[in-house]
Amino acid sequence: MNRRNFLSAVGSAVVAASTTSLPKTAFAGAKADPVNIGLLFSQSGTMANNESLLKDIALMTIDQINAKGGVLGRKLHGVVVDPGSDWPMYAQLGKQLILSDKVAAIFGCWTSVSRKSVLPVVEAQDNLLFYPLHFEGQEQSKNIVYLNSPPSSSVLPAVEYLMSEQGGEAKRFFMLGSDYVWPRTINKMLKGYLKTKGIPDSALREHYVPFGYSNFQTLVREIKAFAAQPGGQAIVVLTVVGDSIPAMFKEAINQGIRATDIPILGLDVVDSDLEGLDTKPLVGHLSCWCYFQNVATPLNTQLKSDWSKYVQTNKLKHRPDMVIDPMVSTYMGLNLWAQAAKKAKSVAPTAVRKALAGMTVADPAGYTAKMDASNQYLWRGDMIGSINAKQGFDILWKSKDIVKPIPFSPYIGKA
Amino acid sequence: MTGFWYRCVWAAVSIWIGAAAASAAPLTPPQRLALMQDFCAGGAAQRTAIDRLVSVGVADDHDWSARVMTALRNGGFVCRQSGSPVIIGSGVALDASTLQPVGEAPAELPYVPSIVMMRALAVASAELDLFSPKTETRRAAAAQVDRKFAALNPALVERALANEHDADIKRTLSVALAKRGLNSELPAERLKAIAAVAQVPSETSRTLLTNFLADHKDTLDPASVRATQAALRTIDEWLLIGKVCSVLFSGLSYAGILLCAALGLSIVFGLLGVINLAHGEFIMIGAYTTFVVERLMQAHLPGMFNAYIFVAIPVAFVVCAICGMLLEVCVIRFLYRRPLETLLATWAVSIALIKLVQITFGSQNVEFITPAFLNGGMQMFAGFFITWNRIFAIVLALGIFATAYGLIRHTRFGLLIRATTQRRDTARSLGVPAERIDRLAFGLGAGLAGLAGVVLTQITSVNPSMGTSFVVDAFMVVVLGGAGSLVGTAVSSLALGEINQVIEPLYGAVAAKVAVLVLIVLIIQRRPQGLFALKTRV
Repeated sequence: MNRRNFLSAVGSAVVAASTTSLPKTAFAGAKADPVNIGLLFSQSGTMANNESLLKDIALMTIDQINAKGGVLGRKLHGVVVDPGSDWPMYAQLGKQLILSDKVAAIFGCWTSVSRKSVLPVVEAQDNLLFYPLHFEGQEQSKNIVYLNSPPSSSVLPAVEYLMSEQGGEAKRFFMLGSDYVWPRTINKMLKGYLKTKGIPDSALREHYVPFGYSNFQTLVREIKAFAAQPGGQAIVVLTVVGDSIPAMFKEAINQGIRATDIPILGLDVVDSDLEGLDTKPLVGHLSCWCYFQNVATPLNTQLKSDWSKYVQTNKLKHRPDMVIDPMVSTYMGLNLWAQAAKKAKSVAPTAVRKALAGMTVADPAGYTAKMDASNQYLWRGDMIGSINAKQGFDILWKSKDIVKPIPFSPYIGKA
Repeated sequence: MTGFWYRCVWAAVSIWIGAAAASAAPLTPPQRLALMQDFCAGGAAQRTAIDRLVSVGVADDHDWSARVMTALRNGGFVCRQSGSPVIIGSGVALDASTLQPVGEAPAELPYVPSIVMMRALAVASAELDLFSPKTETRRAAAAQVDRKFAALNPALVERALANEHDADIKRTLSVALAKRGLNSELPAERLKAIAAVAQVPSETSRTLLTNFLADHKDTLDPASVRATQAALRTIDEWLLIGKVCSVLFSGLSYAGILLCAALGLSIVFGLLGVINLAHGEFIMIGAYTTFVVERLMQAHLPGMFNAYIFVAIPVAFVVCAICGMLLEVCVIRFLYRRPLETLLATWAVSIALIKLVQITFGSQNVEFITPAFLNGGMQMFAGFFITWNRIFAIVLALGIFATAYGLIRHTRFGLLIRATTQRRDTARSLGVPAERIDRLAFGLGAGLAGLAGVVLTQITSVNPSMGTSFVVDAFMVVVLGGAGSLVGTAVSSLALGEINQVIEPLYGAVAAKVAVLVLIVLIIQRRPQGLFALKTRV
């Protein structure tokens, strides 16, 4: 497997170097050497669908920062590598980015398992990894900047909403996830949380499937049987990732699961997962993120039109009318880094880290996000979205203000 | 006794309907506006507004009510700060009370129902649909009635039943109504209701009866208790049968996918002995060919759109067969009998193909519009639900298998392939053009992989790296079945599919995969030649 992915990584690095990065970076005119920024996102394998979006918005944001004169008189240069959805490759390529490309910071990873793989590398080299996904928490490293929410300010509010009268008073929970650290930790936390809410163990089911799993017919049938049993309203907490998401939804549509009967809370579901689906039968299923593209703010309108222009001028294969939370987080992260570097008057990771504490950045979701002074988690707003018939999300609920991130959940030990 | 009871209910219902009909005279636009503004005000008034919307629709303003209801449910209803709410759909904005165009679409976002409101709207919409002039709509609504009965207004259902002419719909509605008798004071009514519930065995009926038994433990007469317990036993039996059928069906459909994916390989690896790691990529190319066909049909032949999947079958076969023959001509033929080099070369080809497709189509999942007849499925009985896309996969897999088998066993071309692969030198000395046969056989294998791609577009997501996961499964099936035996491939995919689906509900998908792999290792240790080995002299 490794050798295959290595070849694939080399192949795509060549392709990426020849097609994407060269024409876009303006070397001419920059007086000093450009500052290298590592972009560690898969463009092949099961995560390619999502991570390639992050790579491209990162390149777009770098172009934007360069257009405004770069950082400290130097242009930024995005160094793209493809770890091919192979977790150990993230560590290898991360190391390569730091040692041979001398990057000032790395933006990368989607799954937690890839972040865990890069973590020892950035710690050993004392570099910075900006991580744009909401995740399971339970981690704090001075070398990782967490741009999105831990579960305390994403998953738990959504579950709480579903248990409220407005949300349909969920009493029983079917937890279905891909088999790795994020779903397992989320579900462990959820079990602890539900215990404090007086939900008995008999009202919980937990199932895991391998990465890239697509044969959901048996599981969907079990979900239907579980929901029909006595004990109150059942919901599905879905933590499968990658290609498993559309596969699961396809089966749910075919077997007739509707949000009015069994709502599915898809924690990793973004607009891009709905791309190949007819979402009319999915209307009402939920997801929770810090940003949904329907939010009406001037900055969001600007970002969406920038992205659409960028996709069209560079003839990218993405949908020009779709922006998702992790893209916004990546965008904010790069701006945050540039601000911090300017403030620190240096691009050295240690100086940037010091400057980051307490720094604020405009959030297209309509908040002003703030970097926590002590733990390198970003304070963000929180939203619950409901799938609409147009392959996107409508905003069902949003928090009034940014929420304090709590990296270590008090519920983990209670499960 | 029963007749008397029905008459009582009927009298009560008639009175209620009389009252409802009197209050629901046709609405003028200002009255409509008032109703919708109540809705837009939010809070408890929303529920009342929906109830009024239903009674208006039931009385005689059905078209307008249905229009507003659809807009509310599908995110097409916009409440505005000032002025009348607006319905948006297919690009035009309509004033919601007069249904006249109002020019520009409003700046406000459409109404998004919460889960609770979504349920209320679903119930209201089912109630409304019971009175639709269209039989199909009424039929769908009647099916909903059974599921949502607790929430529906019984008087409305009674009334719909009285108005109904269609026998099927009548039966569905009367079964649903009979269920309500569970709460009746009269034992005879209760027994009838229990029988009605037992008639449609399902997990839901089981829950209904279990709850009924638990709730009325102390007050119930022995006859009803006995009847309930007997009904529960019947339901349990049906549920067990349903479960067994479900598992068998799941196994069969998984086997269908495995068979599709492995058949081509069984020829290429089994007969020609070429370890083709690019096999998965032929599947992928087949899927992308289907995608191109779909797009072309959508653009040029929208009327025939649903048939694209059948058009894609020959096209994908030919495209993949040509790709396969090209691969054979350019790469494989220099590497026969050098398995290690073949392995490396096809590996490189596989990566090259993935990257090529990635550059051409992008790395995201491509969007397929499923043909209408492959959407959804059918409830067979008690928890046994079949989906059309799986049926399609099974049927197509069997079709492909039958064709491939016939081709290899019963045609001259098949005979030549077998002759060449079994005793190459003898075949050549008898005048068989071995090189051409190799090429054609390789093309056939690749073409069959392309057909697997067509099937998979309806089941999994299609992206450049989709082939990698199937190539492992395909090799598993072929090695287990015995290289070179098509029957072996079919039997082993059936076995693997069923074993996988039997284990999965018990121990999870990960365990199922582990169990299958361990099983294969054990079998291969005992029978290295596979289950159905071809007797050849090599």
